[in-house]
Amino acid sequence: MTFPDADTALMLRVKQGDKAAFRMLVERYQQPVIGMIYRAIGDAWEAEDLAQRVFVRVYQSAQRYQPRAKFSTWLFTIVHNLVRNEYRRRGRHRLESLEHVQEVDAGAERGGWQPVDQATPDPSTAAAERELQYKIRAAIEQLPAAQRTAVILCRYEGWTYEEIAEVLGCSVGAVKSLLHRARLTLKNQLRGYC
Amino acid sequence: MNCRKTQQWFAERLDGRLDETRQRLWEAHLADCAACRQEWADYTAAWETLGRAPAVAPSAGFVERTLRRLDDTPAPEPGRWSLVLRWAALAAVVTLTGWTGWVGYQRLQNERLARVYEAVRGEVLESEIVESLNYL
Ligand SMILES: [Zn+2]
Repeated sequence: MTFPDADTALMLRVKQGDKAAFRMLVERYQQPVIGMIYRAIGDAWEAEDLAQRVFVRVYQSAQRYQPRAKFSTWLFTIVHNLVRNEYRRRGRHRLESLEHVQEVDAGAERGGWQPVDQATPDPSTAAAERELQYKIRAAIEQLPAAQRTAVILCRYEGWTYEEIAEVLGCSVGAVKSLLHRARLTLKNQLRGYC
Repeated sequence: MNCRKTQQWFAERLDGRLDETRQRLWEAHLADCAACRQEWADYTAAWETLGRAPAVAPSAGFVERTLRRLDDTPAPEPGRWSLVLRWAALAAVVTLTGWTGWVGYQRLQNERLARVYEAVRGEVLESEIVESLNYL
């Protein structure tokens, strides 16, 4: 029997209780999962905590796993649902002040978390850059859940409309519409920062 | 092509999903319409700006911490069908127990009735004989 991808084969081993296979999946997907959650909620530590919950859920759901779709599609459906629940839990408009974002960033740096892009702006532009980061986070956070996931998967992960449609359980036409509406909102939110 | 249609196609244009014919129409309108050109410039600039948000790398030891967390959580949930089957089995046991009990009870009742009937019938016969003897 052949599976659409190697990850699906690994997941079928996890289904048999194979922890080594599970470890390989975590190693392979830690970056994109943490990356997507971080972009959605804007906090590196919470992103890691949520990412761990995603992987624990993957393991716990292994018994029910059916290799109908690509493993990554199934995984990011879990990510999407967990992030959406997290937003519901917190209440939608929870973005803190710019000062708090700065505190989180400082704390993250102290704790060893590092942004991937290390191009540090010179001190005079650091404040402006930080404000831009805050605006981007705020704009993404304020999108409805499906638009937010569509934007992150399209912009940062380079997923196709078809792949995003599978994660969101909607049509390809709906994805196009979600992305268009999200971009119109982002255009207004980021006006003056582009 | 009007402005509304042109702007509706922004997403597909940006994602390279317009076919050749539609792309030609779209570009022809944009070449003639300053308003749509401005909208398009803002639309794409915002999308570009999103790319300036930094990514994060997992902190050291993330995989190990995740595996440890796994050890602290309950065993994998049974599948949905397995849950359905469990409930079905429970329902079957309850139904069977109830049915067996009911049948047993009915049988017991019938036996008691039969004994009463036999006893009553015996008494009736006895009195009939006595009565007929008296008559004679
Ligand atoms: Zn126009």
